[in-house]
Amino acid sequence: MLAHIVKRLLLSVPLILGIVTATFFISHLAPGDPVDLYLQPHGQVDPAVIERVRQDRGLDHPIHVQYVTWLANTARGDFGESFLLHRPVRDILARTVPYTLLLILAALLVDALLGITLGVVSAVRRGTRLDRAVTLGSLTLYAMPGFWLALMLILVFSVHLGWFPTSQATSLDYADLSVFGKLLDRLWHLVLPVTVLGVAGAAATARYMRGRLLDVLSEDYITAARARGFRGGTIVRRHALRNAMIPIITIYGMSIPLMLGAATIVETIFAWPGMGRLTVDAVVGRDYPVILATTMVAAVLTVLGNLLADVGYAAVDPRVSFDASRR
Amino acid sequence: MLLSVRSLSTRFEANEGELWPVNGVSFGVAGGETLGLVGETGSGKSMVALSILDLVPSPGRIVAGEIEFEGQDILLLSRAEKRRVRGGEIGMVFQDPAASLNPVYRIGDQIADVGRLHRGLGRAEAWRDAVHLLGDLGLQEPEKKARAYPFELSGGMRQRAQIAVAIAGRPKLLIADEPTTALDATVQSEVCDLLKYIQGEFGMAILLISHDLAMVTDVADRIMVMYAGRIVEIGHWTAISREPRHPYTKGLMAAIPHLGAGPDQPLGGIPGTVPDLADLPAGCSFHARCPEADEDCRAASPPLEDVGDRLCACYRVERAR
Amino acid sequence: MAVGRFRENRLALWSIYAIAILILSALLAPILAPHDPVAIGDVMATRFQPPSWAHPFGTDEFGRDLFSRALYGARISLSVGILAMLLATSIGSLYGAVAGYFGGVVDGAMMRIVDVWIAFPAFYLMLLLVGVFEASVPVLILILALTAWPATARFIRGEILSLRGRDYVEAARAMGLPAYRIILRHLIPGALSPVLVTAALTVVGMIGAEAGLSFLGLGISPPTPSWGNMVAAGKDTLASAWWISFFPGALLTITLISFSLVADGLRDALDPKAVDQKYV
Repeated sequence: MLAHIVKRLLLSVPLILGIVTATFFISHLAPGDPVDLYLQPHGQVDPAVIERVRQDRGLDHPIHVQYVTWLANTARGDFGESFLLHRPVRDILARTVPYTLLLILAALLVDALLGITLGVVSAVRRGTRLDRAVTLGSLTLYAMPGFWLALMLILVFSVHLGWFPTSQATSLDYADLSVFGKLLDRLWHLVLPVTVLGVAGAAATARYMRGRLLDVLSEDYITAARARGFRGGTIVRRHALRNAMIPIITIYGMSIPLMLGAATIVETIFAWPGMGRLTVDAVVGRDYPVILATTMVAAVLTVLGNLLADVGYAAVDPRVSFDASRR
Repeated sequence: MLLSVRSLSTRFEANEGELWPVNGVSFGVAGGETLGLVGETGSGKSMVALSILDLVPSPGRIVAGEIEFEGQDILLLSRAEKRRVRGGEIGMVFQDPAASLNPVYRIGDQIADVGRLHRGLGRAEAWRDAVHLLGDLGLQEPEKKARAYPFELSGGMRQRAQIAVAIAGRPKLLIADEPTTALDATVQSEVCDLLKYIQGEFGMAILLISHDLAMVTDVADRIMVMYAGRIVEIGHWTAISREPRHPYTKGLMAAIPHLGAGPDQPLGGIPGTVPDLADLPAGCSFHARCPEADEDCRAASPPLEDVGDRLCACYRVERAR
Repeated sequence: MAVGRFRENRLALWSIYAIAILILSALLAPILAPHDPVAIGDVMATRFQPPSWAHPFGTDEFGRDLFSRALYGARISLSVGILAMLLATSIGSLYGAVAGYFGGVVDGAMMRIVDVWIAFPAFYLMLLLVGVFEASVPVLILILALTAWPATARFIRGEILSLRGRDYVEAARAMGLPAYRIILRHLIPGALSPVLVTAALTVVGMIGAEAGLSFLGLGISPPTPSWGNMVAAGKDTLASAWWISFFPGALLTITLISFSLVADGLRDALDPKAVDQKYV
């Protein structure tokens, strides 16, 4: 098992390297000089200063030298300095990535709980009005653009009902709250963004779960389980669900990049201080060091998601074994 | 009689119209005996098995008949009572153990689950019983096999495991639907021996269903031949083997030397194939393939009647006076 | 058969009608639009009007008729989405077909590229590309297609692999037909059903992505209306003028649901097994 994980990790190194390399060269295709962009806000700058900044950042070297330097720095965890924020990118990432992870993990939880429940109910009550409602509802939510859903939720739950805050991860008076109050405050701020992110995922999961469960329920071992006298509920829970869930795990791993993409928009709308909003701001402001770094983090998270899905798959499906000696 | 099936009819409604895979079937199984049910693929024999447990898959439905088990009609039982009968009173072995064992649970757990459900055993007790059953059914290193997943066992071992699941509730009747068909020829006879052993050891009645007459006669005391949803001949094997009366049974007997013939192969002595259940000929369903058919056979379906030492459904066989 | 099955699927059929109406309205926007979509008149007198007979979708902060803007927005949103889909599907099918046909080392090398591409979080790739290149409409289409083709390629390759062993393909090869003719004449048409299904799904992704980028201000820039930037334009006045964001987003949602239902319907119609499982 461990050997397999290590092997998979090693195999993902070239994948991440490929993504990072592509990102580096794409960002250097950009018209315009990054130094100009860096110094732009300061108005007219002495050409000598420009040259010094250029040398300082190694931008006077040919691109392949720059690439190697950048790669070496990145490997050491040095992502350079943000053009816009004038701070080390590493510090910026350390502050923003946890917020994005929190958002995505919470959304995945909603996705799993809601999606699997609805999918199972829909499959078990197949053909009923409830099934049709769930099927159509999940299709609608799945197709609905997240940013619009977000705005509509804000319109109803924040503007009209005033139940949830519209932006930020914490209230202004967060520092003065008790420990419990702080937790509550965080949860309160999570509700709307997580709903937007999680509901779309849940819709996809429900659709997939329904189909898988219907497939499994038509298997011989389900008929066999009925012939052994098990209750319908027991059969679904104990005999069918585990089989149906196995492929869901793979879908989950693959949903990480989708979630990251959706999170950029959700974070922007809800002013969530995460990596997604940081990336959008960096793209608007052409803050290349930040773009490079966040893209790499996103790629690493994607690859990790797939790896976790793989390991999870092996953990629940006895037919997949990493360790050949076990047989 | 442990089990008495009377005038059982099961109907399917498909796009092409109605099908009657089980069409007025009556028979009984006495405690401790083995009844063999023989017929080609599509004769409705598997549907008889599922009907007995009231597990006919949709869009099929039992439309008539009684299934009396120990004096009670299974069809009239409550859901909970039916669940008690399934697995607890009547165990079932399916054709393909690879498909009918759950791939993600250990063999031992699947056996123990049944013991816990029907015999109220505790977790540890049920596990011990599972290991014991596996050993009893001839698996080497039963503790290890109990911890294995279905995919880790060979076909023959899987079938033994499935039989262990079926008898873990210590049923009084075991229905085995084509228990050897999915297995290698060498393993087939082992499974037959196993069924005989179970009968002796646990005193269970067995309803053995197969297309393979030779296999059935190796195990069964009585034989029942089914064709296109109806029973055409039923009686003791000693009587039938001495002199088959129904033309279809004669054909089946003539085919016996061809051991291992697949279920879809036309039978040796009989030209033609099983008719489409959706498009049965008028009269006796067998008349198109029957060498002895005449006008009567084309006009009406012959009833199952006492012809002396057995029951037979054929106008060409003289009934007992 | 397949057409008949598709027709039986009422939801998919309605979706086709909805899409037809949307495309037709987009094409006829200059005739249908009651007002100029970009011209700004007496701002103070006309702005922030709620929906009415004169302005079915209301007016925006500059007093422009949102119904007219939505019609013109449909032109952009639908054409960008559909053209990007056509491009992605063409590139993806061809690439997948070539990899699947040749197999072996060629296939291995080609699919590794696809693997890396797919591992790239798609929206991040789009953000990177729109950040680097000025997002004119053609460039935006190119960028969208660039992120979408690998998924199609991977899927079509699988289909081609299963087609490759078929008799008619073997026969074509035995006759000495050149590879490009076998791929174009036999393999891609043979895989037409999966190509159609992926195409329908790709449209959903492309229209959604364009809307997302435009919403962030990185796709189609105002004053040219696209549904995405129209929704964005109303987000700060949500409390006082909900209609600015509501209508274009609703149209977008209807469009995306319709294409999804068509994709579902196509898949069911072209894969009878799936339908049987559904009803038996």
